[in-house]
Amino acid sequence: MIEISNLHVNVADKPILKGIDLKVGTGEVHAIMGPNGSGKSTLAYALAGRPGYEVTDGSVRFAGVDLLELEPEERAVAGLFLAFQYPVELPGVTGMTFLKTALNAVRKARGDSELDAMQFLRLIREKTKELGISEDMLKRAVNVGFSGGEKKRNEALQMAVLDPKLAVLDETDSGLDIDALRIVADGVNKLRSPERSMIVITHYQRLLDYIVPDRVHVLAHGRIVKSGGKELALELEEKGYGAFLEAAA
Amino acid sequence: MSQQPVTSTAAAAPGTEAFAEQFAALKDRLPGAGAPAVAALREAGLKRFSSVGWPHNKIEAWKYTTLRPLGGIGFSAAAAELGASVQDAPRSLFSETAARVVLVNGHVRRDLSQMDGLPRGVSLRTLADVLRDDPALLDGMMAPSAEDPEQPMTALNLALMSDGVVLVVEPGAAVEAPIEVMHLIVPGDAAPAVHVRSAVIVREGGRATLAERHIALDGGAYLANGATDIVVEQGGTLLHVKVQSESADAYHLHANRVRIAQDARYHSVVLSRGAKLARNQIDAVIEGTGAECLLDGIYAGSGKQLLDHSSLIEHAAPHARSRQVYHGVLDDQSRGVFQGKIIVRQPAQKTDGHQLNRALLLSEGAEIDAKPALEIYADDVKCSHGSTAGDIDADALFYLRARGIPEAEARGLLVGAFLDEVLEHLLEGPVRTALSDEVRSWHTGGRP
Repeated sequence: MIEISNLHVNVADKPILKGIDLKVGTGEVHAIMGPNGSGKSTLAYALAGRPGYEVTDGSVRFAGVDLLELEPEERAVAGLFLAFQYPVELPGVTGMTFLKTALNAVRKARGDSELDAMQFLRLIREKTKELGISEDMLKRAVNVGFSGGEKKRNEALQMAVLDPKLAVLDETDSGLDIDALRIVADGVNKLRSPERSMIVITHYQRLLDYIVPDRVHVLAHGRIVKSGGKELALELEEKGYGAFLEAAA
Repeated sequence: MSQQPVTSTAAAAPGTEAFAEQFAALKDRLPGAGAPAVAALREAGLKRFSSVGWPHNKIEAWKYTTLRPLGGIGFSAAAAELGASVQDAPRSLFSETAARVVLVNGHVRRDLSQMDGLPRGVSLRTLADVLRDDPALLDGMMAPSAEDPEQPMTALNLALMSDGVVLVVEPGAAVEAPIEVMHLIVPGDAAPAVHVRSAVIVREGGRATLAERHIALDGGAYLANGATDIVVEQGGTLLHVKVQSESADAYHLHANRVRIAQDARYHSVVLSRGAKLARNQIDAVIEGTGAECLLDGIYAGSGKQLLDHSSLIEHAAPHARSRQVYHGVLDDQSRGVFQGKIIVRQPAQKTDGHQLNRALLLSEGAEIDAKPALEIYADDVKCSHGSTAGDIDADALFYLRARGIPEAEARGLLVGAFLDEVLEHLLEGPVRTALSDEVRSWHTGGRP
């Protein structure tokens, strides 16, 4: 589904990612774990095409296209979804307007017909019901006054509606207490499918109790220093990042 | 502000002769010519304009907006014949109005208006009729225009006022649906000057909504020099909405003078999109405790437009609340001017007054000149002022793009939401919806 080869990324002229190689197959869930400053969010933003994240070497092939050639909106059309670590507040833009505009923009770019108000509402009903989220969230301005848990649930709802091929979840657990975490993880798990891949970026092992990965990779100093099965996460939990940082240095 | 009497032998300021000549030729035919008091007001207005001249940068109130170049344009008296060609008025902004008044080139057209059917206690007349039949009603309200040495344009309006509307709401009377006044201009090639003057008196406990629109029916140059005097008496409420869509070559000036009594409420919402140069001025005095004055503005400039919003709220009584909130978006080489002042007099303890101008600058050449000011003479008040200017929030823009929304559409969405935010100060309902639709129809900020 996605093949990242030798990816080097600078932020403000400083090298952060120093050669990332990663392959995630269709239907697979990979976790990326690492200490602060290892480049986890940089990887997420570089994949999504955020301005200021400069690719200096390497390539990314996604669903048969060269991802790095595409504008952020084109990457979404190609089927990429980034669940933000810090979802942005959009005063004056309701969730409904935001999602309908996004969905129809993506559908239009793919040559599909746009949904009218009724069809869209039906889709929203379906998705909010599936996730156990209230529709009321969408009547409010996006993320304005939302608690941490509400913001992350909102990301999950957007993901459900936009139906991406690859979801990159950037520290979905940050700022959440255990109950909120469980609710958000539930939502994400409902979206797991053999047709969808996920890259779950996290600092703590705890999230991976709920969103169980197929593969775990340890990111340190801008490189993947170790990969393994889900047991690797438990090993990290026990031993800490120290051992891996020494190995990487 | 000092009130200097003007001697009749003072030399005329440059660029004022054309209007002095027009006045001499027209004065015996202008509404109220038969009433000595009205004639005297007009004379006083002309004297003030001739003496001060077109406002320029050295006059504090006009620091960022000079009108000196207009002295060289030679505006003509608005021609009635051009107005005669108008047989239809543009569609209303609202699904329901309590009354509609249509003015063409400064004269009320009864054939295009619907002025009857208002609830009891609400009267809507033309200025021409009131000046002829009931001039004493307005004297006190209009006279200050001749006295202010910093407001020559309002004095000129007093001299040459051709028509307007006079809305009076008797004690306890209420009219829910908006009263819509459309100011239509047909300039032709004549570069006319149009001086419309209106008055609104809301008596004790009365309630009304006045919605004014300024529209040009073709693209020529003209000067729309309007003034409105407003009094909201004890417990009264007036919602005063204005949509300015003048032609791209027009000069639009509008001066509002407002007096707000105890427990009364004046809420102004001004939308400014058109004109080459537009200035909307509001001078409000809160004269009674517990009163509220809310001034909201939304503006969008492009090309080389200059959009000026100057408002002053004077708290002369305690325990009153005021807000001035302006959101604007400026593109190309357009320029915004914001002058927002709060004066809190010594007796006005417990004043709660805040003022904010936020401007989105979409291009290198766009500019905002902001002069927020506080003059506080009381010692127990809560006041603040501020002005911000910047580009669209980069994080918000990326968030929208990351979800598949193309950049131009994303910018448009964010700019629209930014402008629309001001309308959240209005209760949900037909007025808010109509204004929101109007703002969204501007399609501003859609360029990548």
